[in-house]
Amino acid sequence: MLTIKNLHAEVEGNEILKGIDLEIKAGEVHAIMGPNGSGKSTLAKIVAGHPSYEVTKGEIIYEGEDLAEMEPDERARRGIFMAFQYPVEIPGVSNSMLMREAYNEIRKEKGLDPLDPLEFEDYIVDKLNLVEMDAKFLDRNVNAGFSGGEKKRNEILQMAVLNPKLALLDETDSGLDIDALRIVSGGINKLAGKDNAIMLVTHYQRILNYITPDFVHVLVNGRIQKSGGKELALELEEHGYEWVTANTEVNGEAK
Amino acid sequence: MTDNAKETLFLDRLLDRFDAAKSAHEKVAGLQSEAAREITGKELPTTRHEEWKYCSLKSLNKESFVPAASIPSPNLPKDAIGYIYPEAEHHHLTFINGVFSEALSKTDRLPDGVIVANLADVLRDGNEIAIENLGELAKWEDDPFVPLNTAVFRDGAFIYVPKGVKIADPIQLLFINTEEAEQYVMAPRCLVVGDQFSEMTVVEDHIGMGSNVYFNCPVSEIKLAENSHMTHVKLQRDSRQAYHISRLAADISRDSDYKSYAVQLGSQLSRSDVKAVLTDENTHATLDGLVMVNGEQLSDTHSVMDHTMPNCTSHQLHKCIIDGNGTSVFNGKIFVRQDAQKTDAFQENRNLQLSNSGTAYAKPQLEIFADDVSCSHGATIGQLNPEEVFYLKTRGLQDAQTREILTYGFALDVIESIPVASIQKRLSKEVEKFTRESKSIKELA
Repeated sequence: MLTIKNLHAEVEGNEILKGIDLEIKAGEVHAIMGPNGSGKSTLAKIVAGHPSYEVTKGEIIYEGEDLAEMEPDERARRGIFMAFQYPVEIPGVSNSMLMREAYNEIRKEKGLDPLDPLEFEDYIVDKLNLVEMDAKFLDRNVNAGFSGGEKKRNEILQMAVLNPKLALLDETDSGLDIDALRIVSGGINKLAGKDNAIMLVTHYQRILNYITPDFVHVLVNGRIQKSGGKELALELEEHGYEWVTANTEVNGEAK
Repeated sequence: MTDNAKETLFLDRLLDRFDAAKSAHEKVAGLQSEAAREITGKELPTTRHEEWKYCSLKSLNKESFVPAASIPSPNLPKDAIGYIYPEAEHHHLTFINGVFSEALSKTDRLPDGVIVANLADVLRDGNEIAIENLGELAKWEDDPFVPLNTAVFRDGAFIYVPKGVKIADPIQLLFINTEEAEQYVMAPRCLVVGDQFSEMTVVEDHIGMGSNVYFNCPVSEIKLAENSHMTHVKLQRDSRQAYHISRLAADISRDSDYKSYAVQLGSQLSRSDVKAVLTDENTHATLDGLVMVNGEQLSDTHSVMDHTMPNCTSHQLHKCIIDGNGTSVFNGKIFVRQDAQKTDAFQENRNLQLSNSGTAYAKPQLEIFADDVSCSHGATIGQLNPEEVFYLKTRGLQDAQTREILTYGFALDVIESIPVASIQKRLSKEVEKFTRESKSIKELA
């Protein structure tokens, strides 16, 4: 589904990603872990098409197509979704209106008729239950006045509505209390399937108690320093990120 | 100056076109003569004048206009009545090119003693309140447009709400400006007097039907007695080739509250000078604004908020959206006089630039002569927030939708303050139209 080859990227002249190789297939859950500033969020944003980052080398192939020239909205319509670490507040637009517009864009792409507000209301009921959100959130402006946990749940609600092929979850667990974490993870698990893939960016191992990754990659200083199965996350939890950094130094690789 | 040169002066040319007859009432006629004398032989201000630095009247100066009332049968749209807001169904005055239209006006269901009528009729009938207040609030100092309006005005609106009377539904003053082959000028005059403990909402709506050149020069005077409340909404949707130069003066007495929301959307050149004087203790004034300019439009707002007495509050949020080669100018003065202790004044001018070629001039000015006050003022100029744009685009929304949604979000707090639902709806459509229109203008360029 997604193939990243030797990806280098910079922002304002600072190189953040220094050669990333990653292959994500349908049905897989990949956890991207790493210390602060390692470039893990940048990786998600670049796949989503954030305009502030410049890809200087390498390529990102999604479903056989190079994403380089594709606008973020086009990527979204092709099935890429990003749940934000800091979801943005949009005054003047209700949550349901945004989701309906977004969903209808995707339907249009697939050659389906748009849903009117009533049809959409029916469609969204199950999705609300998935993240245990009250319907009153639909009428509120997007993320306006939402608590941190509500914002994150709202991101997963949007994911449920848009039903993406590739979901990039950027630190969806950060700032969540145990209950919210359980709800959010439960939602994500129900949305994971054999036809879609999830790239889960996280600083902590905690969310991996709820969501079992097929692969764990440790990003340090713009490179994937170590990849492994779910047990890698537990090792990291035990030894800390220094453990990976130390290992790579032993192997004589540049940091 | 030779006589020849004098003949070519814009204001003289204009005065000359109007019928020299003055109001039948002696005091009003005197005021009109005085106003005419004030501008006779005067030139229009140039950009060398500090108050006109960014607002050039050069193109206006070259135009010629006939008085709008001299156009025999204006091209009145069939659906003119459709411009009446449902909330104002029972009290609205309509003016076609500044001329009062009795057929399109309605003033039933007004409480006893309330007057909503054509100003010309009221003055002719010798209404004392109108005569006493007319010209007392809008002073001309060195401004030529108040005297121009004063010298030539005929029709307009007079609203009087007596002591203790509260009118819940808005009163609409609808100014329909038609598409004509001839370039015309009009100077509608509004006078609003709210007596003690009165309450009202007035909507002043100027709409251009075509894309023709005309000159709209309205003056509004507002006088609020103790403990009265007024909300004043002004929508300027004149033709994109029109000139709209307006003046508003409000005197607000003790324990009173005046809230003005001015929305400027039309005209190639719109200039709005607004003055609110808080004449006594415990009064409040709001002068909020929303401006949208694109193409080659220029919109200039000059305001004065004058705190003269203690314990008063004022609020001014002026938002401008600039696209294409549009220009917005904001010059907001707040005076806090020596006696105006415990004043709480807020002023903010926010400009949203949607293009690389638009211009915004912001000049918030604060002059404080009292020592125990809380005043804040500020101005910002910025683009759409790239993180917000990215967020919406990751949801699959295209550039045009994203722009529209975020632009609406920017304008929203001013729109939401306007307490008339159908105006809020109208304005959300206007924002939508604006962002789409801007796009097509860009594609053409």
